[in-house]
Amino acid sequence: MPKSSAAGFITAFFAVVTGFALIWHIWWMAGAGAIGIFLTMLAFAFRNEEEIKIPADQIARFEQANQAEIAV
Amino acid sequence: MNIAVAVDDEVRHEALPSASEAGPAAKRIVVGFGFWVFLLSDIVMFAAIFAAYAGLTHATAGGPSGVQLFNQRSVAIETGCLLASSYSCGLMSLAIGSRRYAVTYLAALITFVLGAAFLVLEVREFAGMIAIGAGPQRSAFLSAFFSLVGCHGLHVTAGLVWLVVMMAQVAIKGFRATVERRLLCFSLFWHALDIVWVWLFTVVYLMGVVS
Amino acid sequence: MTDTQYDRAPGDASALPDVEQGTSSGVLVYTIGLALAVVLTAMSFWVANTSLLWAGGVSLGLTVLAIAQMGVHLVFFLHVTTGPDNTNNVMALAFGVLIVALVVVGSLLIMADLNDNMMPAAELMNLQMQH
Repeated sequence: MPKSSAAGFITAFFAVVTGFALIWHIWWMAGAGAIGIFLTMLAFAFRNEEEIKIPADQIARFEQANQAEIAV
Repeated sequence: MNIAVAVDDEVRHEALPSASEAGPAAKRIVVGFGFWVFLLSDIVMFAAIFAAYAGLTHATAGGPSGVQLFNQRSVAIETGCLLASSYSCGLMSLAIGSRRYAVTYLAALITFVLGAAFLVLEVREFAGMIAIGAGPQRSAFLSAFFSLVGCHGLHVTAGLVWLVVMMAQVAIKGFRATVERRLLCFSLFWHALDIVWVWLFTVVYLMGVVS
Repeated sequence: MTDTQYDRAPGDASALPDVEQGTSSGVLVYTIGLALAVVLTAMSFWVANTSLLWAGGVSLGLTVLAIAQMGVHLVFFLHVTTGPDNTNNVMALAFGVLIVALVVVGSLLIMADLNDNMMPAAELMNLQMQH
């Protein structure tokens, strides 16, 4: 399963900055925002651990516990 | 999807199990197919801009038309550059498959240089057109032209940036499964860009010059 | 392994272990693709510039050559062939082509129809003059 990451949230922040700057023609801010998006993407791409592994028996235990709570 | 082999309308006894019984597909397949679907959506976007251009070929507002603006020699060199870069990208894919670092880097460098040459020629063409007053604001035809060819050029630029990042990943992480999947996606992207260019240079430049 | 029997990712040249695709045959596939593409490109440029062909057929010829070259790219560079392990990719491609055809042909049809139904400017002037 993919590991959780804040990259999406941070990218959205930089995208808001970039969009605001483009609308108001603040070119330096637009460039800074675009660079921020790019750097966030780089940080996300160069992660060493990208997945978390959930063993099958742990899922089986969850499922069985779930089944026990559901009335037939 | 049942992949049983049928002979003379009869299902053989040794038919393969259905794909659902065999379990989920490998990550490489899923990633490749998913990126292929994205590329097709990208091509649909190009088709929309294409349709806009095709409808506006004659809307020159008294300004210059394609026949007066397009330089076929430059287009031929650009096409050659992109085609050769597709070839070197293919060679890079083979080198990645056989885990040869030096060949991978060399082929990636050639791909980058050819792609950059294409961009330089295209930017020069745009600059020349803007200099003689045939910029995107001159007429609807020119707006559509700059949008279409410019969009393709932006994709090529993004592809070159991606290639540099991928070579950095190969250098730092080696040929891991994740890196290999991303390189597969890159080569799909690069070949698809060449396919769009074939469409582009035929309709915009060659047909533009003919009429 | 499901992938080796049923599916191949687009762009994946040698996923099947029983089909021995050494690097040399891989290079051959790409080289043939390049050669064909170069020939088709040269032909396109010649068709656009020659006076030997009837002018009305040039557009159609260029379209055919472009489709052929796209096919060469798909088969030789992207390895999207009609084998049983490529069905998903071919289906997705066919759908994409359908949407592209609808968008382009549909837009052109609609614009042509709108064009035909636009009132000519001269008559508009006459209408305004007729009180």
